[in-house]
Amino acid sequence: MGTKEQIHKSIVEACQKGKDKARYELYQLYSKAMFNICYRMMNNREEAEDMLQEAFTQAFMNLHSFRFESSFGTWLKKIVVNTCLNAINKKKVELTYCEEIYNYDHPEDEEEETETEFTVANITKAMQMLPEGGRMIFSLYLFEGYDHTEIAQIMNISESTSKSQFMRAKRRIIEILKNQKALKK
Amino acid sequence: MKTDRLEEFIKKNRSGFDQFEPSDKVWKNIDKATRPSKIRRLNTPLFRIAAALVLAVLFTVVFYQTKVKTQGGYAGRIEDPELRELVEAEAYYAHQVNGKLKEIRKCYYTNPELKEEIETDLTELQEMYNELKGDLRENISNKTVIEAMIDNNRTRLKLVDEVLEQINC
Repeated sequence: MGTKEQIHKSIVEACQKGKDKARYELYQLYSKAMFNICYRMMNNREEAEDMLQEAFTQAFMNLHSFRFESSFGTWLKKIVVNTCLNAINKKKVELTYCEEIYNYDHPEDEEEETETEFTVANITKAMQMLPEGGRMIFSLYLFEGYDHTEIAQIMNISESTSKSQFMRAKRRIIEILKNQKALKK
Repeated sequence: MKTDRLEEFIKKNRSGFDQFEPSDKVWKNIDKATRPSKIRRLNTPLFRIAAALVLAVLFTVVFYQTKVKTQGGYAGRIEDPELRELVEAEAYYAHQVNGKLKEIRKCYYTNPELKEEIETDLTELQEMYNELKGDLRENISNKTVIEAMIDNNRTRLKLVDEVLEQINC
């Protein structure tokens, strides 16, 4: 773990000392990964850029409070996710979740699923079609590496909701991919 | 679990999913928003230098003023209060007279006869003063001598004051 936590330590330290170049270096190192988190959370380029901007601004302003207890990436990711969630909560619109409308006990499913072709592009597209609550849980768990306990905490939902929503989101993606394949035929 | 293939695919191609790039304006805005700290940082040493300079100037001014008034601390070391008073007065009057004389000298160009007049008067006073100084060294009725010396100084100041009042150039 030691080396993971030390990663980019010298750049972070230079940044804490107020070095301008280090600030830009940190941005270049982490902006792409963080932007994609924002994109998956917000499902919208413009909002994702706003979130990235706000998160990095906050991170730089509070950099003095970062004590290398975790890796810088983990610390920054937390700020990014919180920034996105705060923005979504501010909209004061109830999050929409995946509804249980699919009959996934259908034996046919298993066969068809194995035939479904996965690509980065079609999965990304399918994720964008998920209800936002389901999409966020799906990305936090599978892409951002949070477990269900953490997701329950940061999204203010129960752990079982997080688990069931993740399962539903997964099934929904398969469904969407299947339908697309059927449409192409 | 039948959907595990999806999870596996995503985990295997995780980096491929980070496909979007933020536009340049994001960094520009971040840079702008976080810049104040940079200005503060830049200013700190500058402010320090400025503060040090102001302090140095103030210190020098105060130091020179006390030096002029006390003849570099010489007056403070004299134990006889009358003599000390004399030295202090001498310094004070010399400072005053010299300052005013400077003003008067500027007018010599327009009033050439003024130069002769005032310089002769001042030389006369200075000669008298030197005599008194000699008396003082010889310890001849010191109190009277000191009074005369201070008086001499006062006369010089009065002289330059009067001249300064009369001329205007």
